[in-house]
Amino acid sequence: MQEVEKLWLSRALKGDADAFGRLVETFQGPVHNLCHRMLSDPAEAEDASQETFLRAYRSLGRYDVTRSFSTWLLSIAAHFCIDQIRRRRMTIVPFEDLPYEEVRDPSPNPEAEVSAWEDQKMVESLLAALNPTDRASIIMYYWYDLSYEEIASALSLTTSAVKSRLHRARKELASTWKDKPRHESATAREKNESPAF
Amino acid sequence: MNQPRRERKMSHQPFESWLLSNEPLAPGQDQALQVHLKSCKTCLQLSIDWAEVKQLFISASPLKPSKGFTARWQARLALDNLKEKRRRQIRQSVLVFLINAVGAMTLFFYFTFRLYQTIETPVEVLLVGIDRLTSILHFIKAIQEILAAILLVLTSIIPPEGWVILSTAAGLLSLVWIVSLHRLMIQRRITS
Repeated sequence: MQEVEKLWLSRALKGDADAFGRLVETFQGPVHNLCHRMLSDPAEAEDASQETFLRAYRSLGRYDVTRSFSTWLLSIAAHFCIDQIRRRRMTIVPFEDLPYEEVRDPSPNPEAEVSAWEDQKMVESLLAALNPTDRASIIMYYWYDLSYEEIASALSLTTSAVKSRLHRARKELASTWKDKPRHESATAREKNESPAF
Repeated sequence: MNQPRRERKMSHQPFESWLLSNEPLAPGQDQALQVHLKSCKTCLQLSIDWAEVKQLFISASPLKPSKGFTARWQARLALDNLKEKRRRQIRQSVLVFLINAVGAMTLFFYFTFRLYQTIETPVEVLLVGIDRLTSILHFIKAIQEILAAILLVLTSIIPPEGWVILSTAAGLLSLVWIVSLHRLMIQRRITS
């Protein structure tokens, strides 16, 4: 955490809402990425990210200053998303039917854009095969470089449970990857080669 | 035909764990894994698949929220604060209503009970009332007598000159009081 962020955090802890707004500005990316990867839906991810910051703001008094603020935020986001997924299970919707909003790269290269979009969609479908807690563990491990201990603390698990979940999730991901029909076309494609040909 | 069957019977542990672990392997372990991968197609496939998935994860760029996230969050916070305020007001209103309802019910039961007692024994209640009224009248009469006695004593003690001085002092004090009151009123008019 940078010095200026520490300053905003200390101000926010004293009740300065504007300072917390600065923290929202800083951490919106990581929180949104986690929510989007967890929920696979941009609208739900936006709602979950907003709710995460709202919950963080309301429970700032309970924040342990010795812990990393970003890990604390990710912990709130992960717990919220896990709850959302569990609630969502009440109405089973096939992954293919879930709404998907394309996140476009501002680059003018349409091929790269399509490839990136396909990769994102593939990542989503792979993650969707995992149970919510395993999904959160994988996301925190590969997108945030969190240690086993940090993941354990964020997800209220033991370190050995995190290791075991990651192992199980990796096996599941490899298995899902093998069974995916898209897999051949994507992997067989040469770099910079258009998927249309 | 025999080879896949043999492979199926082959133990994939600890090689599977090593493949899926992110921890670096010891040189001996790495060598053993390479030897195993040459003979086990299942583990080789797992190794390839997992490497591809890992590569996909590493290359996937982080997803960003649409512009104006902070502004939307601040609007949501303001709305949430408003809702919280309304909820608090409703809670307070319900609490006040409950306290009043409990108070009203208590009074209702108390008076009903008293009324019931009155209806049950009206003569006794009437007698108690008359007795209390008599006591109050006796008390007032006693106070009156005490005051008359004090006044009699005072008139005998204080001479006529003393009365004149006392009356003059009382008059002056009244005058000072009226003047100060008048000044205060003028001051308030100026300031307002």
